Amino acid sequence: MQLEDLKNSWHQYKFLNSINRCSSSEILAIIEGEVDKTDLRVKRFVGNLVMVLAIIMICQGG
Amino acid sequence: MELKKQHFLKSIENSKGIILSLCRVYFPDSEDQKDAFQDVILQLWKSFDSFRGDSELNTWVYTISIRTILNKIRKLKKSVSHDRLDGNLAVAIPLTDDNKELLNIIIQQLNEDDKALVVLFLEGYRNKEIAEILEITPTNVSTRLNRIKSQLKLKYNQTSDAVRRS
Repeated sequence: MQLEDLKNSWHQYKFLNSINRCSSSEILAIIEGEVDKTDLRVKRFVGNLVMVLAIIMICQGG
Repeated sequence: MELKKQHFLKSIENSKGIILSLCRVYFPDSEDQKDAFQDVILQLWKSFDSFRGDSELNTWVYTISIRTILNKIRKLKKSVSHDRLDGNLAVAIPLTDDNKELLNIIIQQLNEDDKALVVLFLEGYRNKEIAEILEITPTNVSTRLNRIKSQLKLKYNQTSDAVRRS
């Protein structure tokens, strides 16, 4: 038995897994979830930045 | 839908089998498989801009998927007990041919780096390409593959002897 002999098994295994693949809408949900998270992070960062700037201005008497 | 997303979905349409196979090879638990699948998809999406078509799409998918899965396992190893990752949980491989058992044994018994090596070898990549994907030297690939092949031969002979005796 050689490792080469298992090549067909691997391709068969891959083929069977490709039949049970998930839909494009599921993939879209995964990547859109990440886009939303990034948006949220940016919004939080901007919000915090505005807050810090406001505090600095107040402390300086502006 | 944005053009980039459409392009991404179309690009990975035929690679889902690869991603799912890799997730199943590395994670026996279906929840972990789903988790890993999501992580791989996210990494592919994040690095999609850097894919310029210089390499084949499947090679890019293999590279990102294997690196993501290995990173995930390394992170898990820090937080989860070692037993869970290397335990003898059965990997459900839905094959019907005679090599099913052997492929199952190989996948269960190899460590995570060697699994990647064997999968890429079975996929038909040459040593130089495997070395590039796994970021190791071609000599290292060759040495490790030879060691795995010898181990496999030994295990197969032992199994055959046991079957003959019974």
